[in-house]
Amino acid sequence: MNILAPLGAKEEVEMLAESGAEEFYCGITPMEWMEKYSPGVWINRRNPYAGFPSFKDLEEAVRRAEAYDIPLFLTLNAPYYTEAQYPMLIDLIKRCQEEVGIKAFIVSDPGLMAAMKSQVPKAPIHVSSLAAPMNTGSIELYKQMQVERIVLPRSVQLNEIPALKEAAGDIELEVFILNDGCVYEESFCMTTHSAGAFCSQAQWNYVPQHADGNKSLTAAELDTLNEQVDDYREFVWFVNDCNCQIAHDGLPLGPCGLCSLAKLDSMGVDSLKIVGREGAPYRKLASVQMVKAVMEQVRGKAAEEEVEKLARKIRNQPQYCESGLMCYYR
Amino acid sequence: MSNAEGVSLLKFAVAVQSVRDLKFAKEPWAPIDLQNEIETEMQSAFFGAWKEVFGEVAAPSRIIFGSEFCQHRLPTVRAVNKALDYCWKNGFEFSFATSYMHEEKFQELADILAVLDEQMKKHEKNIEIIVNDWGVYFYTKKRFPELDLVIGRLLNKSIRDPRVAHYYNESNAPEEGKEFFKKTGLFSQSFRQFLGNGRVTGFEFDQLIQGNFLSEEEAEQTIGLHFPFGCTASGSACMVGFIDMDKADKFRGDPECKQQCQRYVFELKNKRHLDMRNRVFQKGNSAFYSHDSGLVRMGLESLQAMKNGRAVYSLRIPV
Repeated sequence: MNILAPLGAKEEVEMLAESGAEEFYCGITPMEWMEKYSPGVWINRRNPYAGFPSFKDLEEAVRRAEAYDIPLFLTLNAPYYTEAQYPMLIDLIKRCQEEVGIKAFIVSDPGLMAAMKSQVPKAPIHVSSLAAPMNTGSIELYKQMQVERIVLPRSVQLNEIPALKEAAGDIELEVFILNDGCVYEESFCMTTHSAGAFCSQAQWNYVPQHADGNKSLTAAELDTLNEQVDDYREFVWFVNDCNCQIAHDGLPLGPCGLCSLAKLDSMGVDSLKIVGREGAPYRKLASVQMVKAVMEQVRGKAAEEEVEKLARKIRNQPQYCESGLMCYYR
Repeated sequence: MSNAEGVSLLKFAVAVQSVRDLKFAKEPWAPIDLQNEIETEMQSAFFGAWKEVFGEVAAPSRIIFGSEFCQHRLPTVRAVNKALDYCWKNGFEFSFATSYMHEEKFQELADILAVLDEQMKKHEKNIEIIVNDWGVYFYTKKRFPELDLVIGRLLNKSIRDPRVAHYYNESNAPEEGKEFFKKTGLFSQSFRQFLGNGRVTGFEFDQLIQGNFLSEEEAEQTIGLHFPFGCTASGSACMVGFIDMDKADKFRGDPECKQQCQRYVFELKNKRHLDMRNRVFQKGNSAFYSHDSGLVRMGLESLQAMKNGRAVYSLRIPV
């Protein structure tokens, strides 16, 4: 299993490569795109400023990564693209593949996948989790489209992966391992983070009602539902990176699958995604280091229980691990 | 509904998520049992706008049965057969709405699709499957190529964020940007290529707060426009599922789901975006914005001009 790290700038390459990153991904929004559509229309899932500022910088990042023999993948995983946007997208893919040296494109829109297959057939496709490939039907579909890798959504649990792996055959599977959860299914969240995450609980009052009719809630029901809201707020807090906090020991908090690494390895998962292209360099560094430390044990063939124990020790947040709400894999 | 030449224009379908509500589909404008406040308000807004636009209330010709949003609301084969039987005995065409599916439920859905395929062949009637998962689309296309496929509103991507969507149509916004937020990606040449060899007979849309760009030229198949609730987000974390369990077990998919979403709903009131124009509700695993009269009217008027339009009205918040 490779450690896939997010990149926000060329200067981050050496730091992350030296710390254990084995693959990189990033985004770029060409200036002509922003001029035409405004920064409000995102070319990938993150805002334009979370990506590289120029092709020159992107090329330099690829060169630096190549020095470590690390491939760089590019995200083109906006939920959808319109007809008018395709020429610019195809030009971008051609340029990135032929001139810049991007090794694969992370795509969620089946229309763009079809366009790539007909117009840039040599450009490898990684199916983004935004395409919601969560069953064997999806795996079969993307297999037929000859993709190279499929990123499983965060909601796919450990017990589901073996069947998906079997269906995938030679196609690589990537899973989420650290940071930035999603309360809803990423593919089916039709909101924009430009207004802050829709799921962020601090902005909402949750007012319970009966679904059926206009019955009044009993006092006991109201108590139960208010308690449920409190628990929900806590769950969302974990999913939203514990309010983007850093722990006392300097490690970033947030959704985590570290203690499942041995299981994921035995299931034949190929890549471990660390989320957070737009995060601070320090957060990326600490995240890569945490995954690397546990992966060393996995590669050393440590028993599953040992790996789990080490993961919890490194995480150093026993109360959060015990809560179960910070775990990708429950 | 018909145009000046007498050509039938608009079709009307009612979306029903439970067997118990099938009986209300004949007269969806009439009060129904156990209707909550927002559903009553929306019923009045929808049919009021309908009368303004068309002058008369039409009887629905189709029932869309099933949940588009939650795999744990997948009905049993028995319930699907019951709904199908009700539809055909009462002169309704039948559509089966499906949600996104994790592997376990995907296998259960496969059994339902096999039954529907058999019924379709036996009775020589068309059955529509509304898909909201590309895996379900591919499987149905491959295994049951005679079932009609409609691309559901969760696969028809667009921004439906009630906190900001009303700004997407402002006069000072760039034209290309405004057009992007109103258009679908499903009608691009490449997407048509992707869907090319499937039996796709229609596409479903939410009525967007910023407005939809629905082009008659692009819409060669049925265009289904949903009223009066638009889906903002849907996911695996259910807000009320596991309500009686320990905290650590909550907010994930429940194979033994007790359907608490059919008992409790939350209205989400935003403390920061005080200029929001649409109300927001969370039912189970999904968040919805409710329409208002203006939005309903806008949607019905856009359908009025279309040859292949279909208004889809949901009796309840549709989970």
